[in-house]
Amino acid sequence: MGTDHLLLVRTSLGSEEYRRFYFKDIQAIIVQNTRRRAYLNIMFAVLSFLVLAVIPLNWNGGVGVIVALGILLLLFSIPIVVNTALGPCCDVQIRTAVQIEDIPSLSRISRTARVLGRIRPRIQAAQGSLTADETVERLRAFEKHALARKPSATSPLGLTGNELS
Amino acid sequence: MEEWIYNSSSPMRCPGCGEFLQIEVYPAFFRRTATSTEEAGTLDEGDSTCFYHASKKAVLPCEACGRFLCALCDCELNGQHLCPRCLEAGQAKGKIRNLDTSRRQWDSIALGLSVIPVATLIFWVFTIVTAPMALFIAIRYWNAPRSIFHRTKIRLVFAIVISTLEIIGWIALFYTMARLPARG
Repeated sequence: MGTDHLLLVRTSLGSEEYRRFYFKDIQAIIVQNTRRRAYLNIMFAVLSFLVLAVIPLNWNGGVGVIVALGILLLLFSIPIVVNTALGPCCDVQIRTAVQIEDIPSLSRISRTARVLGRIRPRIQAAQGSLTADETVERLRAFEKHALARKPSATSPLGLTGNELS
Repeated sequence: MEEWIYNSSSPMRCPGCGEFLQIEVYPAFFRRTATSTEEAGTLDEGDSTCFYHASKKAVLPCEACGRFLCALCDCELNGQHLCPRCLEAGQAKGKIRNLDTSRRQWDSIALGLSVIPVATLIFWVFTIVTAPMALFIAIRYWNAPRSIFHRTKIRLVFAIVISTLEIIGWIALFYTMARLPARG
């Protein structure tokens, strides 16, 4: 995090790419819970179960085989514990006037809450803040203005001219 | 999307998919972008004109080259007002850090070239090519900018040491093979 911007770093093989989001330009931050944690747990549970099912079949295969299967079982079981402990998963997007960017590093709710707690004051210092009521009021005014200029445009709330009253 | 989802104090359930959702909207969302006509300003007689647009009124000078700029040409960055050419030059020469959009990690590449073939065991024979490459990259890009975050040169040092050892190993191997008695 810079003094006036948030830096998103994407690391690939041998290079880094940087994307800056200036606090005064951030229009919205969207946090959506996902079921990724559950899916990962199910996947590792199935793998663990498969290993568990194989162990009795190889009971007479010798100590080495049992130890190897035991290690495999641990390798598939530990991620379940770690994944559960890290908490629920989420997808985070930052919206500016020209882009909606995914933030892949913010994949857990707990971490996202910590990070947003740090950047929210900076955004508010750069451009102020809105309460829920103020937001709705300004969104309605924004939509009326947008629809008056272009009736066929898609409005943020999905309302058409007939629904605005 | 329902109105109560925006700027709510806690996550709300999306009416579409049922997942919890939290949307924080900031005043920038409602900031109206001024049109070029509004921003340009009306040119009156005696007014200074923009260096790049003779028909537009100058509002401030470029802090790097001093050229007069209209509101459209003003590129504000880190509190500085620059013209497009100075901005482009600053980015090309790497003088404006905030315009860095990517960097190649030569230290990681050199270290990878020296370590990965050996680590994979079966590909060790490729070190005959990768070791000199790693050494060249480590020396050639010794002073190149590394990550935007502080990074020491330890990766380059390890790459040089490991690739040098690999090259010495190959030289020793060829020397030994050359010294073997000829068959027959």
